[in-house]
Amino acid sequence: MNVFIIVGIIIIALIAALLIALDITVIVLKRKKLMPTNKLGRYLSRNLVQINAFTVLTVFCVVWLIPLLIGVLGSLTSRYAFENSPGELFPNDGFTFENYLAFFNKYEVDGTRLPVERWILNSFIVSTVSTFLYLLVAGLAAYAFVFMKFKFRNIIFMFLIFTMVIPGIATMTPQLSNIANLGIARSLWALILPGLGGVGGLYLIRQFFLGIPKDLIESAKMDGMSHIKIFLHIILPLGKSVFLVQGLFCFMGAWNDLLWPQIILGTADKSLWTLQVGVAYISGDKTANAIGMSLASAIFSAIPIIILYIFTQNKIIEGVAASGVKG
Amino acid sequence: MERMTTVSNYALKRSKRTEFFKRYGIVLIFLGPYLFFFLLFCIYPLLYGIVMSLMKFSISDYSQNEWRGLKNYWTILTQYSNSVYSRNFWYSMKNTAVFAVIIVPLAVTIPLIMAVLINTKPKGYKVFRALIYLPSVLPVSASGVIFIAMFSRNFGYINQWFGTDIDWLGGSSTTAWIVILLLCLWGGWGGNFIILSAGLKNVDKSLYEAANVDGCTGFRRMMVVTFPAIKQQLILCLFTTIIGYFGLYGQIYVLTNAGPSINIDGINYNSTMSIMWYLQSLINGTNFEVYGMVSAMGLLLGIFVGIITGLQLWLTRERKSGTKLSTEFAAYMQTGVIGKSAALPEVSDDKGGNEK
Repeated sequence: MNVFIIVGIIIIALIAALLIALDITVIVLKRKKLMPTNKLGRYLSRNLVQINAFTVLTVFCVVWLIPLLIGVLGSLTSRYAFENSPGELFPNDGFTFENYLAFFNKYEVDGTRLPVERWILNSFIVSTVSTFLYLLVAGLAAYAFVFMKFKFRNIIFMFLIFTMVIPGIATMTPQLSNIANLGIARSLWALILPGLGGVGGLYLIRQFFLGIPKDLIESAKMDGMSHIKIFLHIILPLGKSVFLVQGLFCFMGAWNDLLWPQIILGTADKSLWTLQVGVAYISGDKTANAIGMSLASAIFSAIPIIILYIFTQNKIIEGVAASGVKG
Repeated sequence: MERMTTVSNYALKRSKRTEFFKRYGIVLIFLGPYLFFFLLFCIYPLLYGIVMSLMKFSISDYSQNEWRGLKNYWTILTQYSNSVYSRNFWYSMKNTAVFAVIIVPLAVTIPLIMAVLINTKPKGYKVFRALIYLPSVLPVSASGVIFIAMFSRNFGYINQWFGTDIDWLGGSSTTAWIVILLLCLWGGWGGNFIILSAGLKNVDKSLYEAANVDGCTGFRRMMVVTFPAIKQQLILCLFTTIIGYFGLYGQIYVLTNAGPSINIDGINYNSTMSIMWYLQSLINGTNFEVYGMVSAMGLLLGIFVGIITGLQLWLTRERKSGTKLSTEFAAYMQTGVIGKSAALPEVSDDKGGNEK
């Protein structure tokens, strides 16, 4: 057994034992009213829950990040190291970028090169265009559902919500045929357009709009603003957070999607693939020879998402909280 | 403000006849695009699928299509011993359902525990929050490859570290399912975590204070105050998680591609086959005539999931409403600046009003 594993388990056990000991001491001292009243004593008795949470979360997050660490370090490990000294996080022959280079210069059995840069471009096009279009379409619809009066408004919305119960996967085959009949089966529109009818994002945005007071809109109307102006000048600035969150979800969904692109794009024309389809294709080779490159492609395909996430993670919870998502 | 009109003018403008085209025209502009896509890509495929499931349908050659009535459903539901479709359908349905029974409670309780821990706001809780959600933003093909590297037999990190020699992914169906479960546990509940964290953040602080005054603290306060307050979010999580895991696909495709093969009563099955993997393999397969059959299976799955989630929603139904943004509006009225409510003192919404 690896030394690091043993040390790690011992450390975790020690931390757990110390934490439990601390908890018991503080609680017993509190019961007997023997808690010292100096600075440390007061801090401990007031923040015991936080200390517990902090410790548990620290240990959890360290364990939580191990797979990611393996992924990043493994993608920098050479093929030689994988074959001769597997299981080393820090290989003896040092780190190398050869896996990433191999990913960009991967040749098929028949000698054609895999069009990796086309996959990247395709993924970017699909993700950004579908995010932008969905926010526009669903934002307008959510505005109509909340701030406009028309017949059957609530009935239509209830119907939309009801269709959420039917999983989209149930209609996959007819959707395929539908796309083929529309003549967009061999283009990226086949990945962009079907998502625009989604109900989930509309629900989130509508939920946020419901929190915007109707009086605000009514008074804007009395000032002679048209609906389009109200949407642009009042709703958009107010709804920044929910649009950001929904946009992020859309982008991630489109970037990470595997099943639908695989089905619709098939295997004939590889230049139409998205990055995820390519990564899944490359990682189909599960040998020590190929695992470094698979990891490199996986980490590479995750980098844009991770960068986006780092810049927006603080707003996600706030955005969802502000919309007051409920069942 | 030249464009300002009086209230009477406004009322006049709203008179029925002039209003009709104007109002429904603008409604159509706002709602039209969405409804168009919704009808085209959600409702039409559903109806089309119902028709397809009643036919022998080939996507490549329409002339071969023929009407079969309920025969597809009949074959799937009853011809267990004769039809390979029926056998694989039931086998993959059983796999998916068993897996969902295991994963769904975990994928709701673990994020709940994490969200409660985060909500105590220890030092650096924002960092923890970001790290906990991080694996969920990774594409499933990426996290899948990482797990292959961890659990591979010859060069996998786990086998090397623990000094074992287990063929996790190809050895037996049990170990393969364990790896799939671990992957789902690593990156499969981030959305729930977000929803529950947001819910906990929105719980009214005065409820906690009231509970404190009544001498209700710690675990009991959590049971009596916190959980009822986020009940709606829990229901939503349960709903989306059930639907999500009945569509289990990516993890299986990347990790095992439904292998290893298993022999039950003399018939070979792909032991980690989920229903979605099976449908995908039929669609991507060489037999273009199975589309009717696949539609029927998809609809049966949809009906099944619909019944389960419908039952769940019916069992947990309740209604409630939120007031978060009324503070935002009050802030706007006071300062004229949109989206700056945090800088304001407590504004009088209904709860503040009660105390005065």
